[in-house]
Amino acid sequence: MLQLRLPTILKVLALLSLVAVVTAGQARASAELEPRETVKRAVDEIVGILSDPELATDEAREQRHRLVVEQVEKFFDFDEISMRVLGPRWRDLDDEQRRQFVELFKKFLERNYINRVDQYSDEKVVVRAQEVREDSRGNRYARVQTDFIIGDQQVPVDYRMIERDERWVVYDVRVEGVSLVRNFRSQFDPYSYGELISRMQEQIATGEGFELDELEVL
Amino acid sequence: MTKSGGVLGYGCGRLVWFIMLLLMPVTAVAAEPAAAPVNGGDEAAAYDPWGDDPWDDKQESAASHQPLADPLEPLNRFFFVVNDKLYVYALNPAATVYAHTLPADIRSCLRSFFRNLLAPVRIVNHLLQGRLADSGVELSRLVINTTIGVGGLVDSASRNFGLAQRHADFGQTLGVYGFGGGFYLHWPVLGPSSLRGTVGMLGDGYVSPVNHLLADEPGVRFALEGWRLVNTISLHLGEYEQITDNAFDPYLAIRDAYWQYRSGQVHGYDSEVAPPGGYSKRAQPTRFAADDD
Repeated sequence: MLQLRLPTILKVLALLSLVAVVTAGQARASAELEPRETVKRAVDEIVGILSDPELATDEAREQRHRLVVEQVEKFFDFDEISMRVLGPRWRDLDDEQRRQFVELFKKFLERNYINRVDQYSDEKVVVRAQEVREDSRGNRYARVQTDFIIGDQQVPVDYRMIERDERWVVYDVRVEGVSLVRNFRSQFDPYSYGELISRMQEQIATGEGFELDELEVL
Repeated sequence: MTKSGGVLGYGCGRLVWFIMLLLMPVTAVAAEPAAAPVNGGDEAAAYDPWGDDPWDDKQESAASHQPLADPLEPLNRFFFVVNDKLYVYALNPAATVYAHTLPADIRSCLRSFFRNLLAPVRIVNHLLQGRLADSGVELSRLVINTTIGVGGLVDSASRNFGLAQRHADFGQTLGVYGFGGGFYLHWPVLGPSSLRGTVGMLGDGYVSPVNHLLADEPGVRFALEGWRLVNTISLHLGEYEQITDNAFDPYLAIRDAYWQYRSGQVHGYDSEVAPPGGYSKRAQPTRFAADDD
């Protein structure tokens, strides 16, 4: 029985990247908005940009990207995400190193995912339920369920959010139960801080991914 | 594939049980909790982002986050590269030509056909997991799609009867029974798997009607499986590149995604969020129709 499982996994990962872009539309989060409303608005916002015929042309590509990146820069909580993808070693970094990592990771994600914007083809997002919990320290967390409708497929996507300065920001996205943060965390864990920095810089500079041939083979 | 296809058919029962025996001690080792990160310093006392999210308080949730050991990483990475070359130089070009030859609708029908062929695997595994309702759904699907759906070419059960495919496989069944993943295995052609997943594949091969019907025709079986592979890839062109280009370390990205995804299939998504007003539990992690390709 031939079971190439790769495509399923790949689909999940590919979706993660799409979702990361859509999540960027976290955008208009404002004080009074419930997590669910925040996601709803964000989705509308981003889908609005992506389906705007004036922005759909090749000439408008740059502008389209810039609009999305603006959203990212402004509203995506990269501090929170960076902390989580680095894990406890975040504590060992000084402020300068933290800033450096956050900036670089942000650029890394943008460079890798921005092209997904061009592949948008009428995917629909249905925002479903939300749940809010408070931990013992009074931090409020929310998770919001959505379904991405892609062709005849329905893919569950969960947003994990935390309340920061009276607005809800996303700190993780789970597609089919696969967490974006956890996935990056497991990629980063084996590398030292120095290696992370230099490898990301290299990938951003060359615009190329991990060179498979350079892997130590047996 | 071809090779495993040969093994999968018959006479592998003993092998399956042997591997399962092997699996048990490994499972015990792997089940030891990973060293908890030292909670050093009180800097983050007010807020601990690594305490993870507040929904991880369920036991299943803890189980689903068990890491998967990878003692064979160098070998696995080697096969990862081999598969990459195979994909880039053979499968992708073949699937691209194939996609130009056959319209997407027809390829979609073929996908339904292959899925329908494997319905007995799901029916059996649902039963083994005690999911009688899901088993019944899959049985109904098999009957509907084989008759109304013209031999499985049309997923009529989904379209006309609202009966979406419910995934189940033997690796998942073993997980439900409490077996750990063992360790990670990246097979040539087959891709990401674990010891448990591999035993699952062997077990499912035992049940697969294709293997029984074509027991004496390994060539035909191989051709069929190759066809299915190319057909599947043709419906997912570009996705592989998307990942390998964008990951920090694609091998680790795929290993982790595989394990998170499989854990989700075994333990559920941990996402039964009550909506405002409340509604029934969210669908089990079985509704992703494409989970077998």
